[in-house]
Amino acid sequence: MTLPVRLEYFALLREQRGLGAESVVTSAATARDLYRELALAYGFTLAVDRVRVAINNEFASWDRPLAANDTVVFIPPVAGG
Amino acid sequence: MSLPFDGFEISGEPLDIRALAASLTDRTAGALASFEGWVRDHNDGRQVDGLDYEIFAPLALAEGAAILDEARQKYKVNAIRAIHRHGMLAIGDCAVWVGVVSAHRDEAFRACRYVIDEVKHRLPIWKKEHYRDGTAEWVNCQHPGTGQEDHAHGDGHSHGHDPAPAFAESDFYARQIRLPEVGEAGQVKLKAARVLIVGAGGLGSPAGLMLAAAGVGTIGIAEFDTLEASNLHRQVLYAAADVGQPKVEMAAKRLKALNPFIDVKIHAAKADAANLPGLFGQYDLVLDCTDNFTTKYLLADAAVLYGVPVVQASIHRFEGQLLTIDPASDGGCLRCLWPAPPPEGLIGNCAEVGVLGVTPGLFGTLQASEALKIILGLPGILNRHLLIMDALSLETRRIARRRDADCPLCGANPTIHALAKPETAAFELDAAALSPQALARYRIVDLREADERSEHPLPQAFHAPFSRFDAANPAFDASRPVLLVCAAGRRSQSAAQQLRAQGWNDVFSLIGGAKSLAHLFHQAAE
Repeated sequence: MTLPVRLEYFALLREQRGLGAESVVTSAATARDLYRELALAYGFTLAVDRVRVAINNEFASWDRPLAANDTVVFIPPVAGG
Repeated sequence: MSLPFDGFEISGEPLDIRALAASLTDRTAGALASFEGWVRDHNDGRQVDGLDYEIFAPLALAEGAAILDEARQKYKVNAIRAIHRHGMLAIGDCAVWVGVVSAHRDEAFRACRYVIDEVKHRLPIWKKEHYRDGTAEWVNCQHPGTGQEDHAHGDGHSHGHDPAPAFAESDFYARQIRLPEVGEAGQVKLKAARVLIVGAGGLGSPAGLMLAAAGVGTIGIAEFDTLEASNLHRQVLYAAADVGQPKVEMAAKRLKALNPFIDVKIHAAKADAANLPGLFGQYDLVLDCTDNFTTKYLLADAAVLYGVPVVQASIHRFEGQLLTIDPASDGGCLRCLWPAPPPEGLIGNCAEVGVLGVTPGLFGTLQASEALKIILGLPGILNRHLLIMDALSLETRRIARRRDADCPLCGANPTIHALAKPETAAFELDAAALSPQALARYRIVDLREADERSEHPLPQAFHAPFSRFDAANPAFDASRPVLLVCAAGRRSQSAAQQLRAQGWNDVFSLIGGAKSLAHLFHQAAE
């Protein structure tokens, strides 16, 4: 089964993906599976436990099942000032 | 029959004592006690020609009304009227008048005495004495809220008595007082607020300027750095001429020049586990304007451990994140989101990845906005959300967050109960704590180049110059306990980190380099 989802990348992940947002169709069941696929495809250097995921404007567990048309945002910590 | 006038006022006009007393006429009262304060012709041995009174009206009116309420409660009098002059007064002019009517003389005297004492003590009134020799001086500058007669000068203060501006403090804030959400009561809250800004850089600059301009009564600045030319494009507190100067002093000077009515305290130290408890005790709110994960996590932890809200902003190139850690809310803390800081070097700082000045400019201003909302009790505080914004696309997201029950700091079973001590990683060994017996456990690997080794020779060491070091293929057996040594401890630290990243967990680095081992070789030889 595949689902259409909207993805957004912040900070380092935006740079490593080369864009800030995209719409994809994924067969990943959870946000964790999706991140791992993306990390492999685009060479993300941050492990999944260093990043937080927000689904539909709410921080979510990596194990939350994805639903059609979810907006999934990957957020690493930043520290600049 | 009209009721006696009751209340506290300030006036720019000469006081008509007879009319004031008449306004208190009350047929049920048996006594009127009044007090007149006059401008006298000398003070502290100097001949005085006149006095200039400056009053911060919003606070004076609120505080004056509070004093009258207290006196009414305490002494059960019929009515109290008190009025204080501002502006230029000549010798003999009446500067303050208090009148009390009551059934009996005793309460009238006591209430009158109470009111004049408290007015002298608590009201934000500045007196400029004009002396007969043509000079003038601001005297008896009282601190609203603290009841102190004067500032504690010296330690930690950087304000002096700057020349007072030629306008009243209330004029400064007129446009924001006009907002119903602020008003005079809000301005009083701002004046009473104590906000600490940690880091006077790209974020701290706009935050400090906006808070000083808004009239936050006490602003603390914690900063240890000196100003560099490469700071100026984003650190708008400073001028080109300040390069090389301690930032904390330049920042305090700038904020005091912008708003002489506030108090600016300086804390010229790097925030750490030793000084943060004391600092958090002095402020109601802290802005984290720092630029590194170590200090950000310390401040985030201190928010929860000491119960003081911290507004954190962090930026990366064109993006930023903003959140308020509010121990009183269920929104959780920084560790609820990211339980530990990422390993050094993984994310990149401003020096490495670059930054456009406007990005910290935007986020430092947002921190000030958040601080004002908190002080004024306005809605929309980010204590249950994280704001992320990209300055290029101008996309913003406000992401809901909640306390994580598994959080190591604020969860159900916390494992963090104190601030982290200044970092010495577990793989770094201190020679002072090493005995010859303990040293014998390790194989010593000298990472210095051939021409460096004669300085503090390590006769038993294996030589593996750092210039040819490769963590994937070390020239020595890394599976046994290994102590890496170089000249100062930096190359050995880097090599140990790299080897540990490869999974060699018995690899250690010597703090301070070969010279710190010399005494041990001596002892071992004896």
